[in-house]
Amino acid sequence: MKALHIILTVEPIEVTEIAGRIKKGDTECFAKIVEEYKGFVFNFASQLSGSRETATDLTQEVFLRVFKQLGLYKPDHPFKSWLGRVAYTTSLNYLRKKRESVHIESLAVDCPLEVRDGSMLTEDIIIENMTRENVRKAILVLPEDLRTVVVICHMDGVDIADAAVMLGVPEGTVKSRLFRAREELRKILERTFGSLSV
Amino acid sequence: MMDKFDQKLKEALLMRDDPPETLTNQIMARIRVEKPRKNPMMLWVGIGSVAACLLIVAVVFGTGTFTRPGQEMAKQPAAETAAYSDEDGNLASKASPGQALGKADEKTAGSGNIQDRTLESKPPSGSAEPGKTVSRPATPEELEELKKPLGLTVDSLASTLPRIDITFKSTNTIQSWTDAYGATKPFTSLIKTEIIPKESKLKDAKKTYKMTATINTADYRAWLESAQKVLPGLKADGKPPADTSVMNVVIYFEPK
Repeated sequence: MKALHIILTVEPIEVTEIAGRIKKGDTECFAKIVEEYKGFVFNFASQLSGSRETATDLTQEVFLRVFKQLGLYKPDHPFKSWLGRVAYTTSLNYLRKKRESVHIESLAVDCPLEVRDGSMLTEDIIIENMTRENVRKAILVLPEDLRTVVVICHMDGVDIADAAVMLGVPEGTVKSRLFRAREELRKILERTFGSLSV
Repeated sequence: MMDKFDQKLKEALLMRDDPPETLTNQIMARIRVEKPRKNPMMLWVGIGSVAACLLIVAVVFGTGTFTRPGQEMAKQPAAETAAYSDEDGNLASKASPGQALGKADEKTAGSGNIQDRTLESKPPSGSAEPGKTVSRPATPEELEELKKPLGLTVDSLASTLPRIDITFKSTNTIQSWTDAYGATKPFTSLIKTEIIPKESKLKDAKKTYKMTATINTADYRAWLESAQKVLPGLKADGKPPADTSVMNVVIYFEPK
C-alpha cells in the first residue's frame, strides 16, 4: 500500500497519548479529538445518509466507537484514515439497520426545474440541474458500495490511496467503483432530467 | 460532457455540511454515560464467552454425546442443553452467552426429533417428555463437529500476497461478526466487513457469506494464533506482506 498523505491535525502520537490518558481515567481529553474531527465525520455521515438528524446520530455512534477502540489505533497510520475506516463501518451497519433509502421520484419532485427552449440538449439540462441537493439525492439512490466510494473520494484531503485504506480495498477497486458510481449517477440524473428535454 | 459532469459533481460534494454546535457536548455526554457501564459489560461478556467454550469442551470430552448428524440447528441445542439442562433434563432454548450460535429453535430442532437425541444429562423427572434422554455414544464425525466451535470448518486456505483467502462452512447461523469471534477475538483489528450478496442477512444460514477483513500486518501473527483457536486447522500457506501496512483477508461462509 502506498503511504498516506493526509494532512494531520491531531498527530498520531498525540492520539496515542490521549488513548493513554483515557485509560487512566481522563475521559475529557477525548474532546480534543472530537473537536478536530467532528466536521470530517459529520460531513461523511451527512453525505452518506442524506439527513442531518441521522448524521448527528451517526457521528455520535462513530465517536463512541472511536472512544472504545482508541487503544487499537497504531500510530504508524494517519489517524484520519483509521477514523475514516471506523466511520465507514459504523455508518454501514447503522444505515443497514435503519434501512434508509431515497426514491428517485423525490429527486424530480423537489427540483424547481425550469425547462429551457427546445434546442437545449439533454446533457445541458442534466448539468444545469446538478445542484448540491439533487446530486446528494442521486447519490443516495446508489448502491452502498458505490455511494460510499463517491462520498469518501470527494472528502477534503482524501485521495484514492487514502480511500483505499479506509475502505480496505485495493486502489484499483476504488477507481473502478468510482467510475461505476459516476456512470450510475449520470444515468440517474439522465433518467430524472433528461426526459424533460423538449 | 464528462468533464463538466465531474466538475459539477465535485462542486456539489465538496460543499460541507457543518455539524451542530452542540455536537461535541452531546458526544462527550454520551461518553460519560457509557464509560462506567462499558468495562463491566465487556468483562462479563468475555467471562461468559470463555465459560461457554470451556463447558462445550467439557461436554464433548466428558459425555461423548451429540445429536443426530444432518440436524444443523439441532447441534446447538444439544451442546447448549448438555451444558445448561435443568434438573428435569428439559431442553434449554436459550443460546449460551458469547457464542454466535443461532438460537435454539424448538421448531427447527423439532423437525429432526431432537427429543430422541443424545443428552447425557440427569434423568428426567416425572414432568419430562417421554424419550427425552436416550444415551448413545457420539459418532466420530459428531465428535469432530462438536470440537469445532461455532460449527465452522475450514475448507481451504490459499494465500496470495497481499491477500489471504480463507473458506469456511458454517453449520450455524451467525448473529454478528462480533459475536462470532467475540470470545477469542481473532479480528481485533477487523476494520471492514462486507456481506455478499449485499442483501444477505446474517441470520440467513442458507446464503453464502463473504467477509473481507482488513488487519494490520503487525498483528498478523497474533491474529493467526487467536484465529486458530476458533478455527482449528487454519493454516497460513504464505508469508504476510513485507512492506504493506494492511492486508485483506477474504472469508467465505457457505452453509452446509
